[in-house]
Amino acid sequence: MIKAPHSEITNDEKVGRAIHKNSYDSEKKEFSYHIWDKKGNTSVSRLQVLSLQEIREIWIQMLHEPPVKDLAFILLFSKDDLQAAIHGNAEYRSVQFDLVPDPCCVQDHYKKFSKEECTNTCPYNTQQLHCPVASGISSHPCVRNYAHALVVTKISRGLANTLNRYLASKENIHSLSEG
Amino acid sequence: MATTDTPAQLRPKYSEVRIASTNYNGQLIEKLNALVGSNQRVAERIPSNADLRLHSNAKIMLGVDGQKRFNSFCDEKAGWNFGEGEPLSTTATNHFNLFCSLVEESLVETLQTKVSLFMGNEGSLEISWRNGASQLFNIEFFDDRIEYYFEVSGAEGTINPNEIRAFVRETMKLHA
Repeated sequence: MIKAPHSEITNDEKVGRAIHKNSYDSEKKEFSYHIWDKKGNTSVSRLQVLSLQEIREIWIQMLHEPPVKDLAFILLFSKDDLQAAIHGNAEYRSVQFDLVPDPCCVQDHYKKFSKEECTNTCPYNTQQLHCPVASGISSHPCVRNYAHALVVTKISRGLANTLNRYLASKENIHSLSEG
Repeated sequence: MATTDTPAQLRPKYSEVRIASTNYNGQLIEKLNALVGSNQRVAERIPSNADLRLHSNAKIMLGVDGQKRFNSFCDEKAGWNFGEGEPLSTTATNHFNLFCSLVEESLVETLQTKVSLFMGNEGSLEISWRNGASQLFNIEFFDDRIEYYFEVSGAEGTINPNEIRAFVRETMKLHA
């Protein structure tokens, strides 16, 4: 099912997290703490908004260096998966994971644009076009990943490692170079 | 010296270039370029952190794969990881090496090839391993601090690198 960029992220909706080769030990199947953001800005992409192939192309363009060998993996999970990872863990019983859509990178970088402006008035946002505001400021083309979303929950080192153990056991990590 | 006139036996081998690069300065690079015969080739072969080395205990704990990962980290330039990553920190690497040098030999043996190695955006080095009960030990070495999480005790926090000796003792006690 295809979803709109700003639609609510349901508990079972799968999202993908790009994993750099420096953050995953594929021999020992261990993740780095750094695949999560302690400040609550963990970037993910929604696989029901864009296909994995489309997202992969965007990721490749967003990297500075020839990228495919470095951007090696994608980790797939849903909000349900994250809650399941801490189920029964007394230390994290109060943690509620929250994923929010964030389809406009311009709004994120240039705070003068409100979410409402970007959502309701920006014609570029819904058509995957290069926003002229961003192109006037940055020399790099801005790639519009309108499948972008954020895990806004702040994730400590301990919590990250709890999530990593669970997700590694589910074998939800896939090589991007194969695709 | 014209590069085409340089006899093959006088040209440095790759390993010699690597060793010389630890003392690299403009003059030396110039000489090496003349000897090898191509500016491009010498420049490409000298990694940004050519002088970084692993302690022998670190090599044992990381194994061959981990050492390869470390070598690839040495080559990372500013901007890796979506433009946010910094090159590997020499100071962080020194903290990691000091940590490894202080680990008792018996634990080094136990951890042989079992330690995973990662690199963080700040140029930090992160290691993790599991004890016999599959409980995770996760430690990250930064320039100015060391962060840790020990699943066995649920402890998570930050220490000053000056406290590393006591930290190693505590880690070994928890691992036992």
